[in-house]
Amino acid sequence: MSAGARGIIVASALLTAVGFLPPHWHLPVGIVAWLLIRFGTGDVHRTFGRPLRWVQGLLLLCLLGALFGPGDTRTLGFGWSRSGALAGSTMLVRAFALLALTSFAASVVPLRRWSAGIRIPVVRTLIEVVVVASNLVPVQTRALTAASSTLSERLPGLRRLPRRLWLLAVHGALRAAMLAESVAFDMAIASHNTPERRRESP
Amino acid sequence: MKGLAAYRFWGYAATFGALWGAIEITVGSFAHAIKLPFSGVVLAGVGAAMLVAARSVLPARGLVLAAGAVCAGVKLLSPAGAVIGPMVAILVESMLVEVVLMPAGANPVSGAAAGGISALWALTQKVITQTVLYGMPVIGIYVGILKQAEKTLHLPASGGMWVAGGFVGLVVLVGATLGVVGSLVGASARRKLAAEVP
Repeated sequence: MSAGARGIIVASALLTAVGFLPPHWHLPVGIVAWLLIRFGTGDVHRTFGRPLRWVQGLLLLCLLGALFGPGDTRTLGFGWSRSGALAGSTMLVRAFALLALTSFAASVVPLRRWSAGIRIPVVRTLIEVVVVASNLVPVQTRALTAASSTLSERLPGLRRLPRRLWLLAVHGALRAAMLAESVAFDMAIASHNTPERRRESP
Repeated sequence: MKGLAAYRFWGYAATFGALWGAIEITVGSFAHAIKLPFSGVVLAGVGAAMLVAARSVLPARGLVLAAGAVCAGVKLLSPAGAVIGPMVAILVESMLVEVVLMPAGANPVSGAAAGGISALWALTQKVITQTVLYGMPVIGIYVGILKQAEKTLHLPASGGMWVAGGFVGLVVLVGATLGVVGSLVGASARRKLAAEVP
C-alpha cells in the first residue's frame, strides 16, 4: 500500500472518529493520527505546516471556546466552558483531518492526467488554473501578513487603522496584478512547451 | 479567446481568485468557526470589492466570473469544515457582480451596486439555507423577532416590516461601501501599474 493510500485511510478514520466519538476523545485520537501520519506516510506531512502552529491554533481555539462557550464549569470561582474548550479541540482535529485527507487525495489522484482528458478547453483550463491558484494561496497569505506587519510598524495606532487597511488593500491588488502577469507568462511558456494538440488551450 | 490576452485573463483570474480564496480560507473559516454574527455579509462585501478591483485593473468581460470559479475551486480544496455553503455563495456573488459590472465596467457607482447586491445575497442565502435545513418555522421565528424588535424600538405596527427594511438597508449599505472602496482600490492600483510600465 502506498504512503498516499495509508494517509487517506488514517485521515478518513480520524474524520469518522470525530463524527462518532464523544468530544473528549477527539484530541487524543487526533494526536495518535498525527503520529501515524508523521512517521508512516513519507513527506506529505511537510505540507501541513509547522507542528507549533497547530499547537498555537489549538490553544487559541480552546481558549476562545472556554471563554465564550456555555458556562458549565467553575474552577477557583471562575466560570468557564468545558464543552466550549472541547469544541475548540474538535474544530482543530477536524481541520487537520480534512487537510490531511485533501493533501493525500491530491497526492494520489492524477489531477493533471484527468484534466488532460477533459475535452472542453475552458473547463480544462479552469481546472489547471484552480491548481495554480491553490499553490498561490499560501504565497498570497504570506505576502499579506508581511505587508500587514510592515504597515503596523510604520503606521502604528488605532487612529491610523483606516489608512493601514487602505494601503494593505492597494498593496494586495497591486501584488495580485503583478503576480498575474508572471503567471500568464509561465502559462504561455508551459503551453508553448506542450505538444501541438494541447496548445489551443486556453 | 487566444494569444497573450487569454493567458493574462487566466493569470488575473488565478491571482485574484487565490487572493479571495486566501481571505475566505483564513478570515472566513475563523469567522464561521467562532460563529461571528453576519460575517457572511462582510465577507461577501469584501469579495465583491476584490472582484470590482480586479475588473478595474483588467477590464475584461468574464474575469469576475472566472475569478469566482477559481476561488470556489480553491475553497473546495481548503481544509475548512464548511465548504459547500461558501462555495455556492462565492459562485452566485461572482455571477451577480459580473452581471452588475457588465454594462459600464468598474466604477464607484457600479461598485456600490455590486457590493450591495452581494451583501444582500449573503443574507438571502442564510435565510434560504436555514429554511431548507430547519423548515418553514424558521420564517415564523424571524417574523417574531422582527415584531419584538418593533415593539422594543416603539415603531408603528407593520408586522416587522420597518425593522426588516432598516436591517436590509444597513446590510446593503455595508456592502455598497465596500464595493465603492473596491473600485477606488482598483483605480489606484491601475494608476500605479500604469506609472510602473513605461
